[in-house]
Amino acid sequence: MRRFPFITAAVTALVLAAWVSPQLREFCLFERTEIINGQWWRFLTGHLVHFSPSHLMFDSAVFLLAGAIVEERSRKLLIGLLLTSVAAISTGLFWFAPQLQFYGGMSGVATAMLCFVAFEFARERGVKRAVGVTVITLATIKMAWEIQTSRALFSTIDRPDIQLAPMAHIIGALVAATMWSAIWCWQKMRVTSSSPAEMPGAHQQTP
Amino acid sequence: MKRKALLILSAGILVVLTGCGTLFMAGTTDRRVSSLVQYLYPRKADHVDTVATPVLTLPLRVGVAFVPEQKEPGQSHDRTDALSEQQKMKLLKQVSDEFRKYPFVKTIQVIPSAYLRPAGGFENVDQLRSMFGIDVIALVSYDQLQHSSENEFSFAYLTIVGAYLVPGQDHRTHTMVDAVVYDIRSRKLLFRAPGLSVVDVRATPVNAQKELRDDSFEGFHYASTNLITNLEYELASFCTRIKDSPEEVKIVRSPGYVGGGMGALGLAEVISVGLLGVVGYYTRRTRR
Repeated sequence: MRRFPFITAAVTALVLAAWVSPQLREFCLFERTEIINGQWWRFLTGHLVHFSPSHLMFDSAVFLLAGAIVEERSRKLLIGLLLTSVAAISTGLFWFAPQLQFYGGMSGVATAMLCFVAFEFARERGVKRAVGVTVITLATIKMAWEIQTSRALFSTIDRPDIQLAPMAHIIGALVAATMWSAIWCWQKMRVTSSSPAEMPGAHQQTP
Repeated sequence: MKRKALLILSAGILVVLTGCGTLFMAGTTDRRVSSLVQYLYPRKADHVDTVATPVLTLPLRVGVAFVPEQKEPGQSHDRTDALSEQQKMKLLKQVSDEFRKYPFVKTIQVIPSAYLRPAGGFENVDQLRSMFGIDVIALVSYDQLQHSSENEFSFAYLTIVGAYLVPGQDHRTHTMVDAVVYDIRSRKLLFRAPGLSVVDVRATPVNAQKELRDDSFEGFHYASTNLITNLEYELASFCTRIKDSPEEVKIVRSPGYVGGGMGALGLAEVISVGLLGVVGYYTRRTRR
């Protein structure tokens, strides 16, 4: 039975609400000075804010599709990946990119979802493996290019006051790699201990 | 004697059924204007500013204000403005909300009409700049034309009842609300967004003035909604334009201000995730 991706849809609805309502956007934006002044929620909600229609469109599309695939496998997995990537990206930007006064966008979280699905595909056989490996390779090349040139590849930033923050995507990809590795190790350990139990969300995978 | 009675009866019927001649309204036109050109260039019809490249210092400090209403020749100076101060403030708040979407806007000041002098020119705008500490100003102006004329049913006004019941008046209200954004220092127009509406109503001549006032209000409401939609688009286009052609507007960051950051996803990621979804779906189907 296919499950409807409620959480992915709900998060996307929040993203759209933050786009439509200026008050909500102002309330949610990741702003360094406001976070330091005690508005801690911005640390988590900043990812809901988008700066231009194209920014909103691409981030939402990738998050919606990749999130739906992850949620179909396991809702717990989606929640874990969502919360870990949000916390890791915000912490990384706060500590390692002090020049950024504000940050917005679901792209880091969407990258985590995309990479996780690609890692899952890469460990399968045939076409799935080929597609998974290709996506991981392209994502790695893109991130390397962006960090090297500080310019966006295959996309544009249409705001004069905003610069590319490739760190968000790198952290997202690292979170996906770490979580996927942890699950893979856990699954291996269970198989070696001859337990027939399934890993979280692995119920639809081939034996 | 019989003829006399008939004459009196006829006169009586005429008095009861015939409407007053004053109910007939010839075509009337009323115009309410708050002209931006009249406000900024009051005495200099052929005035042309020297071309200078605007320099916008980020984060921006923006002011929004209504251009004062211009009294047409022959109009009473006691006549109230087409929009009340409360209505103006409501529209200015909507305009400022559009600017607030952009984090590079540091402050937005809604400037009350009392601070704008009719025909004040850029001297008045310069005063606002120092008074409110703004770099950029969005000036909202309007032009509303109301035309009222009789239609083919107006012959019913010959009876008093007809004037109350038959909608023999055509009221047409054209409204334009315009927001023009200026860089105050260079006096250059950065972009503009218009809002238009046309309200057509058929009405009876009784309460015609109230009907026209309602149409005026409705016209402003629709034009303002249209303006906000266009402003959102124009603001986004302006951001893209200054990114694409930096020679048009120079962007300078205040000391200590770096701006924001975002990740950039594009069509490549959408295609990638779409491919993963399609392959996942078909491999699962073939396994079944």
